[in-house]
Amino acid sequence: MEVIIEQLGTTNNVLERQKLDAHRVRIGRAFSNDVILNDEHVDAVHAQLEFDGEGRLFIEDLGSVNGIRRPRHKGAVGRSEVISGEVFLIGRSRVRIYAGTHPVAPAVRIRASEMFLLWLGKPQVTIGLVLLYLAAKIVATWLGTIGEFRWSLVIEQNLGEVMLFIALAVGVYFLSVLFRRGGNFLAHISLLVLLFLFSSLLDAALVVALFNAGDAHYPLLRTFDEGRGYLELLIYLWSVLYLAFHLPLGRRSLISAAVVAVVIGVNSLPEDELTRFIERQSFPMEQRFLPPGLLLRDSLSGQEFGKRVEGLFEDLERERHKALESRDEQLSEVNRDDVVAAEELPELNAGPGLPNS
Amino acid sequence: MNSEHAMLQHRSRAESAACRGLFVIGTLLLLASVVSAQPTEYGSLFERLKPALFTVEVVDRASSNKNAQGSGFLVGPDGLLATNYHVVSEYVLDPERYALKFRGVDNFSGALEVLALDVLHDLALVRIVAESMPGALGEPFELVSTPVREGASLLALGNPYDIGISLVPGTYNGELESQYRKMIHFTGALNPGMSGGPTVNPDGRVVGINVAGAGNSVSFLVPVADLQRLMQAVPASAPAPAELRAGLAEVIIGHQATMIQDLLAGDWTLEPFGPLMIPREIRPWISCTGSSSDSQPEVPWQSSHSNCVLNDRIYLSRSLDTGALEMVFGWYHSDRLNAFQFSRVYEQNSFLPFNRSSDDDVTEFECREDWVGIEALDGEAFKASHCLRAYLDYPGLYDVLYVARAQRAGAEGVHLHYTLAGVGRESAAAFHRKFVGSLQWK
Repeated sequence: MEVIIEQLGTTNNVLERQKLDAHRVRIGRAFSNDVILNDEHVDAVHAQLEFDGEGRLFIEDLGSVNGIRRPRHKGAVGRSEVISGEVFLIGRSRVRIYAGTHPVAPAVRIRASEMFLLWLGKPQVTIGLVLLYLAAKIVATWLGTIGEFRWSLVIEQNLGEVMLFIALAVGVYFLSVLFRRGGNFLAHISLLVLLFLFSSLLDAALVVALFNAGDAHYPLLRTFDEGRGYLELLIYLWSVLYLAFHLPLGRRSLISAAVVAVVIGVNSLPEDELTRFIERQSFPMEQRFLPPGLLLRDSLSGQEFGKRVEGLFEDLERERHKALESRDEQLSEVNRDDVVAAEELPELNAGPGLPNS
Repeated sequence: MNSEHAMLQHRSRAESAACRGLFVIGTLLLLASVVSAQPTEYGSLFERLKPALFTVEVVDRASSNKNAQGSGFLVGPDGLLATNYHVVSEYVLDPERYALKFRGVDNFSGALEVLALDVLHDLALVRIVAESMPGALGEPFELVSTPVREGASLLALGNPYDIGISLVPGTYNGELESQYRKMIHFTGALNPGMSGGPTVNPDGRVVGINVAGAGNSVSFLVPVADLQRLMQAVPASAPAPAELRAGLAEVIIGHQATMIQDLLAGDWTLEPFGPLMIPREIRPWISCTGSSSDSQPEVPWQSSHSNCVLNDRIYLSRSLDTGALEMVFGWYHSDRLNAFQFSRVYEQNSFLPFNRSSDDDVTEFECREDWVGIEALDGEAFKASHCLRAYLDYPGLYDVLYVARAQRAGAEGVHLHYTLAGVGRESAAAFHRKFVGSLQWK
């Protein structure tokens, strides 16, 4: 005789499903049971399911402390027939029981991307990635340290980032425990490290590209730089929504895309005065320099560059007219203020200091 | 007269104890002093000159508040005054907002009109408007006609801090060599408010016009010859301020073109600097300073800079000056850093324009930046930033900022940088060609 037993979460989501082929099924906290419930309100051997001679299924309390109840019913169940699909509260665990013939939804197919995310949770993968991260940090610190390299610098310069990773992973872990009783902490650490390594690679590529580029390519590279940030955010959200909340593909894609869209929207709001001011102050020459070996292209000749510089005069004439117009606008505003001030304070117009002789 | 003699006698006695050479010099000083024997008390001279001295004020029309104050002096009939351009500039640039007024010694006052400007030499000729003309004016100042000897006593006149017309004695110390435009070095305390006043010799003849002080009694005068030139072209009636402003851009472009032409003439003498041969004091009016970092054990790189400037600024308004030029070369090297670490040091440099300006005066810098092979330096690749900004009110006038940087093999880097303030398009191009064309590797 077959019976299907489901452990349910707080929202009646299925946490675990077992199909057992037995005449009698024992449920409790001890390892010797057929169905083990990790719940301190469940006794070591709490309940028993048993088929009678006619194939009917009964649930029976084996003298537990907290008993068996039906949700929204006060009375405890001593021994009762089970209707297929009924939910019982055993201790505080919700358990749904089906007869073996009950049709069950087919198992969700795990996609390659999800396999990969789960694979990230393997301890050896996490350890490997963390070692790779450490190596990258050591190399980066050594290359970037002006002066004597000390091992303590690696810690000093990267402690903040590591703490951030751990804090994020712990935070998401607790969130996921709240929602589905158990998160994938190691997979999350692996994900963060992997994203960091990916982002560092893109960053390095961008620095080399910027170093090699002329101003004609700066807008493209700036767009690439911004897009890179959004892509990383998208990947992170998409993965976390699976690892921590087990959202199906469609929903997690939709939610992460929506969040990224909002971020892009906020970033592309009209700039305020301050941002414009900061941007104006930065000359293009204020970017990273790299060793000459990383210059991968031919330089322009003096004449070619000179021709490009000639083109500036046209741009400047346009800028000049624009600036003159905006200055005139400001001036006319100031003048309007002056008129008001003069009307309010008429005695100032004929001040005693200046006889009009 | 007596006290002067006493002082000199005292000095002679002291020097007689010294060696014979010093004694001879002492005698010469004595002789010179006797020849140009001067009164030490200028009461009567001051009395005579005072009626021809004026306080010039720019007044905000809306609030009647004084915006700027300087001095001026009578140089011709009909109330023709000379003063500095920078005293009247606010009025010339914005006559709707500001009025130009004068005050004389007997506290009579009235309006002024501007007849002619010379921004290059910071001079202006103004005239008391007919309605404001007082009954009697003092005698106009006479201008000196013979050359002045270095060391001669001079008297600066003006109204410092608007506390009243004052007389400041000092010394003529010749014309400055460190500037392209001629200017007199006057040792005497010129303070704000004295701008536009005359500096006269003990006979009361004008030698120069007060223009600037550098502190500690180091002061500068505009030579009277520049004033004479301006006075030859005084129009009969005052042109509108807009008319006065109209030709300024061409005047500055022309002046700067002459200066650049002078600078670019002939081959530059190059001097060694790190791995480079660079121009330094290629003209007497270009002054250079150099600096090197100390080699401290905790700083694992060394740097040197050569900084040459023509600090000859043309005043245009309170927020804008122009005409300055600077050439800066930097050399960084290290035998302790790897190439990546060295890049971090090398990229720290930032380059800023050399002249004063505000958002209302100039556009933003527009730049072209790319890798350029500099032919004179064996075609080596430099990341060059060539930036220009335009003056809003002076069409055709630009500031140029050029930086070329290269990190070379073996943790070494050089940068080449110049700023040119207030030049026309042709001058900018000619200077650039010469600058990048004249450099050499050592």
